[in-house]
Amino acid sequence: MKRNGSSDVADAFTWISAHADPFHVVSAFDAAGRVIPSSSIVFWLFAFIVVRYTLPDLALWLAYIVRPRAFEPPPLRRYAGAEPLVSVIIAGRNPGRRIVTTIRSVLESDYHNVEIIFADDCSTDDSVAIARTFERTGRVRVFANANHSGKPANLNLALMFVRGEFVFVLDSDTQMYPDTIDRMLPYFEDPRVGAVSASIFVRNPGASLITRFQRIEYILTYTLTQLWRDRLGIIAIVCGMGAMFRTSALRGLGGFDMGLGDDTDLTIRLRKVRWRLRMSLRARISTDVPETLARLLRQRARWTRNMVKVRLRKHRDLGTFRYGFANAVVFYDGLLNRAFRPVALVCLIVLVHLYRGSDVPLVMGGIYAFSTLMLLMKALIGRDMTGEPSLGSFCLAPLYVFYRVPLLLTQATQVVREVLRIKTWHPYVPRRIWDQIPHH
Amino acid sequence: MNDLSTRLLRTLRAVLAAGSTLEPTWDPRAREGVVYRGTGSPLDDESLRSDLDDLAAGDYVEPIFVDRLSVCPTCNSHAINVREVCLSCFSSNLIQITALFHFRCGFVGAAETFTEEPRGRRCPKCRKLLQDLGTDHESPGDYFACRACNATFQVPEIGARCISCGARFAGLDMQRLRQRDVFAYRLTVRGVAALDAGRLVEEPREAQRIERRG
Ligand SMILES: [Zn+2]
Ligand SMILES: [Zn+2]
Ligand SMILES: [Zn+2]
Repeated sequence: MKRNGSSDVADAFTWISAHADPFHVVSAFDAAGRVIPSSSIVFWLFAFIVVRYTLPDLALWLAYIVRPRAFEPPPLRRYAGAEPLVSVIIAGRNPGRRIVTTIRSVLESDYHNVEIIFADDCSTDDSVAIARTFERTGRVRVFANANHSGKPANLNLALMFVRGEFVFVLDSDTQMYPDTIDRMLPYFEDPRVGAVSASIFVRNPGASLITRFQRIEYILTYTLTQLWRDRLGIIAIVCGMGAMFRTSALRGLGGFDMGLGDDTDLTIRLRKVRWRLRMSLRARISTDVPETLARLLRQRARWTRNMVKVRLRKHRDLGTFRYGFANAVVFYDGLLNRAFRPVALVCLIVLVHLYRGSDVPLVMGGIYAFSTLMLLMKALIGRDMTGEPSLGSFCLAPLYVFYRVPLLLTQATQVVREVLRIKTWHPYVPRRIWDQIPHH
Repeated sequence: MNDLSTRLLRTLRAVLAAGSTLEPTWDPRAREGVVYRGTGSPLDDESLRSDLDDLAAGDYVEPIFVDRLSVCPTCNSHAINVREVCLSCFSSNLIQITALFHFRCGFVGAAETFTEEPRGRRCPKCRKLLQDLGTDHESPGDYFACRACNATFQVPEIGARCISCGARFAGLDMQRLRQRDVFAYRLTVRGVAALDAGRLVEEPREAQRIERRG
């Protein structure tokens, strides 16, 4: 029997197709039980992880079945009929023609009282000239930054020119739908609400197999997660691809801080000053996702390192309960989700291989069967609640594990790299700025 | 020789008298902004200019471009005040502001929002003192703010107001302003020959003249 990783998954796959009957699934769990006996703390740790990644989604679905109306935006009162000005801010570097789609999607919104501010991060192409053609509409203003200074700085530049009561942060390769603002604004009727996020759809699912997987992933790991977190008041990220903020909340924090990302850090800072964060199921945005595995891994590597930097270092005081119980839950769950899980996955694979006498393909097959089952369950929940992923995507479900595992492995290596502070600089922040910002 | 060609010949002599090149002189009181002095011409400036046009068409003088004037489409005045105006309300009540970006905390704001202190400017977000420009902070650029409607923008619109009749133009309206070119006139070889001969080579007919101006 071969003992290297890549053929193991192949072996497991062969095993599954040959032994796909209930008895063997049970024996797979039995084999897993022999590797990690229930008397071991490791068993309970893995049991906890399994519960953590299935129970909330099931509970969410139950709540949705019982009271679907609870997932609709609250009724408009203060803002009924009086459209407050919404300033859409876009920061981008070399978006090129894509900026046209982005700006048009806002101009074509059913919500009319909008202004668009595009902060160009010193693009080397004709993005500024393209965007300036929209200034004639009187609803778009373009600011060309004289220096390349990264996304958070340009969002702050745009924020400076905001006149609206609300700010909609939109990525330059993302678009909104005509009803997006209308489905987010009602949540701000509650004066304690500081930010509202939307469901994210993949705009380019047909581009490659990688984007097809991301289409499933965004629904399962972002939208569904956001929804149950919304119910519990523990939203941990307001995705910067497209989200709406109360201008006073953003300005009160002095805008975005400099770092490897913009949204994770801002979300925690909003949480710390006790703004409520909401998620609108019916508000949608759609975005272009990386089309090649290399680009995807690079994106996820940055996200993971940012997570470690922001959650483990900069805002580790969130874990002290000083900012309340919900914030501590957000901290420890983030630790589990972003740092522990990827590392645990690696440990699990190593453990299975080290345990003499275990049938490796059998155990791997058991893990595979279980995770694919969970995936199908979540995909059904996602489809019931949002209409996504498409039925065609379900055919990809058996392969989804092979998409997720490399991502989790990348995450694991990046967690280790960042914890050990190996080559911390990332071109997301220009060097001259990086050297000035505090690194915790 | 008819009256017209006598007059044209007289104008041609005036060009020679001005040193072979007749330069325009700016004069805000003139209806179209310039006069051609030193012509010693008994003609008013208006007919002098049409004579010069005729002479140029007959290749006796060569027009040399000097400048382009905007002319009000309503009252024909050249007294047009052109200035930068607000993108959204076309007001000219604009102020120019410098933005500053503090690397450390990412704050971007108008230079005035950083409080002046004896030892330098202090960042309103992180309360740190700014060092030298370019080391720990820099300017993303200047921008305009409209005092009338609070809009801010980097590239203002161009707007104009006619000082004679008060008409305002901005944005696409600016295309309604007429353009008129102002020339100096230099004597050509053909012009010199005509002066030597004491007559124009071809007798211009009134009909031709009307056609050319048509
Ligand atoms: Zn600062
Ligand atoms: Zn204005
Ligand atoms: Zn006029």
